[in-house]
Amino acid sequence: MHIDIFPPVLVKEIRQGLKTKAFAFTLIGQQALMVITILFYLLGVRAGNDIEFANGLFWFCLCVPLLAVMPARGFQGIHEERTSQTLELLFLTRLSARQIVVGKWVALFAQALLIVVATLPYMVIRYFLGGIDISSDLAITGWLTLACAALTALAIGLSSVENKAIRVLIMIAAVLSIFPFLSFGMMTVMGGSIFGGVSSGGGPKAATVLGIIGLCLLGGAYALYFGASLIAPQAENHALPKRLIGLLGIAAVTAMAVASGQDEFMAFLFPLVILVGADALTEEPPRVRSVYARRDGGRWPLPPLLRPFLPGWPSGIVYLFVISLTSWALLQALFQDIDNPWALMLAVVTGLLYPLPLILLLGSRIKRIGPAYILLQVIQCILSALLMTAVGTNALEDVTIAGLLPVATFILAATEENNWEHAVAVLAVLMCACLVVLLVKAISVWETRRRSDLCPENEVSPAVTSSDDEIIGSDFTRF
Amino acid sequence: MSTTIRVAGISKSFGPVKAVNRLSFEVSSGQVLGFIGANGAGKTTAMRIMCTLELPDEGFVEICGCNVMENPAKARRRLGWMPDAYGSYTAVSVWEYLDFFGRAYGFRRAELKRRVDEVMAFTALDVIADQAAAKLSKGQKQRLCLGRTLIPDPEVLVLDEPAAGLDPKARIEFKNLVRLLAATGKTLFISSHILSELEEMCDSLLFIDAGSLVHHGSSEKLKQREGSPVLVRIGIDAPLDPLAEWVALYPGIECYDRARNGNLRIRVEDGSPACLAAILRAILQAGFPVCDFHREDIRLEDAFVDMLSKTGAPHAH
Repeated sequence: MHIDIFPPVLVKEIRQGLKTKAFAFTLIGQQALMVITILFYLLGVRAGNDIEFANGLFWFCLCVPLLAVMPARGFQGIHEERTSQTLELLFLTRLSARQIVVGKWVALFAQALLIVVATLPYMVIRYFLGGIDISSDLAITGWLTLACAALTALAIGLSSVENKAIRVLIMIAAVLSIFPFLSFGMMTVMGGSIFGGVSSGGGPKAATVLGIIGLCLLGGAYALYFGASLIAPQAENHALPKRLIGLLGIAAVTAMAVASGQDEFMAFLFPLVILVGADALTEEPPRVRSVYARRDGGRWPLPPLLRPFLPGWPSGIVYLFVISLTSWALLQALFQDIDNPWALMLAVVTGLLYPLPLILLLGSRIKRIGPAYILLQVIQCILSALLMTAVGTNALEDVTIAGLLPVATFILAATEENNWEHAVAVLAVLMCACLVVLLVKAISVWETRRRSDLCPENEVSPAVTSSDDEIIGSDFTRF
Repeated sequence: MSTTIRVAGISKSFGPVKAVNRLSFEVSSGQVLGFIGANGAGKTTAMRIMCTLELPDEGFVEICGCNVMENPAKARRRLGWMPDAYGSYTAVSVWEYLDFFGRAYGFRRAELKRRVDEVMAFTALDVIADQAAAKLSKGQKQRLCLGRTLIPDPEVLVLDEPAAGLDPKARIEFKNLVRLLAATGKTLFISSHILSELEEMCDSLLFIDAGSLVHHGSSEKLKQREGSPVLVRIGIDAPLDPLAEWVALYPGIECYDRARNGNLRIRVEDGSPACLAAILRAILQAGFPVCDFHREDIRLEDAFVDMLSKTGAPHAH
C-alpha cells in the first residue's frame, strides 16, 4: 500500500503525532503500567487475593489515554494551526476545510487505535490468568474506543473556536451531553436495560447499542463539520451537511426508541434540537454569492424545499422550525409518558430564538455572534434558576412572569407547576415578538442579497457581488 | 510584456481605519517589484487581498488575467504567498514539511519527489533535509518558507518582508535567490523596509502611504524627480563661514551640514542641471575660490521621506 493513497493532512499528522512527546510518554507509560498490572494479577491470583485493584488499574490505563489524553490533544488541533499561522497557508493549497479537520481527526484516532492494540496482549494475558470474561472486556474496550472517537472528533471540531473560554464552555456542555449516551450504551452492553425495564431478547439490546453507536458517529461527524465551518471560507456551504446530520440524528433517536421499545429515548430529541438549532441560529449569512446563486444568473441554486440547508440564521430559523415540529410530532406519536410536549418544544424553540433579535438589533456593536448568544443564554439560565428558587420556596406564587424566561417555563411545564399555562401563554407572545423582529431583519438580508444577485456585475462593486468562490479572510468571526 | 498583476482601485477598511485606499497599479511579467511603505501603510493588507486572503471593500485584482475575487482557486494556482510570519510545525523535518505541502498542492509519487528535490536543491535546504523545521536558524527558516512558496511553481511570487531579521550573510543569500528566481522569468512582488536592498533587487518600486500609492517607478526615477532636492558638496580654498553665510541668503538653497573632509554640504531644492549650474556660477561670481563642487547621490530613504513630506503624508516625519 503506497503512502500516496492517504490524504496529505493524515500523512503529516501521523508523522508529526507519532513523534510528539505526548504520544511517546502515553504509550511508554501505559506499557509500563500494564506490566505492573500484570504483576499485580500474578501476585493476586497466586495468593488467592482479590484482583479488583489490578482490574481497576488495567481500565485506568486504558481510559486515561482514550478519554483524556487523546481528546486533550485534539483540543489543540486547529488552534495550533492558527497560532503557528499555518492555517492560511493550508487554504492556499488545494486542501479544503473539511479535509483539514477530518485528516486531523483520523490521525488522532489512528494513534488512539495504536494504544488500544498495544493493550490487547495484556488483555489476553489477563484472560489466561483467569477470573476475566474476555467478551465483556472486548465490549468495554469497544465502547471506550467509540467514546474516544466521539470525544476526539468533538475536541478537534471545537479547537476551531478562537475564544478559549467559549471553547472550554462548549466542550464541557458537549461532554456532559455525550457521556449519558456512552454510559447508557455501556450499561446496555454489560446487561439489562437502561430505563429500569428489562429488555427481553437480543433485539432491543442490539437496537439500543446500534442506535447509540449511530448517534455517536453522527455527533462526531457533526462536530467535525462544525469545526470545518468555523475555519472555512465564507462561500463553502457547511450548513447543508450539518443540518442533514441533525435530521439524521432525529431519525436515529426515533429508530432507536422504536426498535428497542423504550420510548424514553425520545427525550434525547430535546438536547439534539437545542445543539443543532443553536448552531444554525448563530450562523452569519455569507456575504459572498456562490452558496446562493448560480453562475448563469439564477437566484437560487437549490429548490425552495432545500433552502433551510443554506447557511445563515434566516434559513436557520426555518430549519429550527422544521426540526422542532418534526420532533414534536414524533414525541406526540411515540412518547406516551411525556406531558405537554408542545409546551416543552415551544419553550425550547423560544429559548433558542430569543437572543437573536437582541443581537441583531444591537447590529454592528456585536462583532461575534457566538459569544453574545452564549452569554445571553447563560444570563437566562441564571435568571431562571433564581426564579425557580423563588417558586420552590413559595416566595413567588404567580408564575406568569416566568414566561419571559424559556428555561423556567420549560421546567414549569415539565413539572406542571400551578398556573404553568399562564407562563406558556406569555412565552408564546414572546416567541411571536421574536419572530416579527427576525422576519423584518431576514427580509432586509434577503433584499440585499436579491439586489446584488439581480444587478449586472458591471454596475456594482465586484468585491461585493462576484465572489463565486472561497475568499479566505473575513471581517466576521462567529466565535 | 504582458501584465501579470493588475490591481484596480482596491480599498479595505478595518472599522474606522482605512488600510488600503483606492490602490491601483500594474506589474508586467518577469518584473521584480519592491513594495515600500512605513509600518501600517497598508502593504500587508494589499498583499493579502492579492493573495485571496482578504476581501476588498471595492476594486479588484487580477493575477495572470484571473480575477482573484471571481475565481480565487484558479488565481491561487498562479501565485505563491510568503507571509512575514514563518508558519512551521513542531516535530516535522525540513523534508517532511516540504513533502506535506507538495502533497497538499496535489503532487504525488515521482512528481512529488522531483518537485521537493528541486526546491530543496534551489534553496540549499538539501543539506539540512532531516533537521527539525522548528529548530532552524532564521535564515534557514526563511529559505524553507521560500521553498514552500515555490513548491507549486507559481508564476507570481508575493513575498512579505522576506529579508526581515536576517543577518548580512543570510540577506545576501536571500538576495541571490531572488535574482535567480527573477532570471527564471517569475514575477516577484516583494515588500520590505530595507530600501537599499530593494533598490538593488527590484526593477521598479512602489511606494504607498496611508493605503494610497505615492510613487511607482524605478529608484532612479524617484531620486531624479523633476524639482526634487539634491545635496551638493562644496569645497573652497578658504574658511567656510563666509560661504555658509552667503548660502543662507541665496534663495532655494540651504546649509545641510559640514562634511568630514571639511567641505560644506548644501541642500538645493531644485536639483536640475540648469539650477546647479546657476548656483555654481553665482558662487564663483561671489568670489569664493571653489576647488570642489560635487553633487551627492541622494539615498533612497531620503528621497522617499522627501517625497512624503511634499505630498503631506502623515508618515513623512
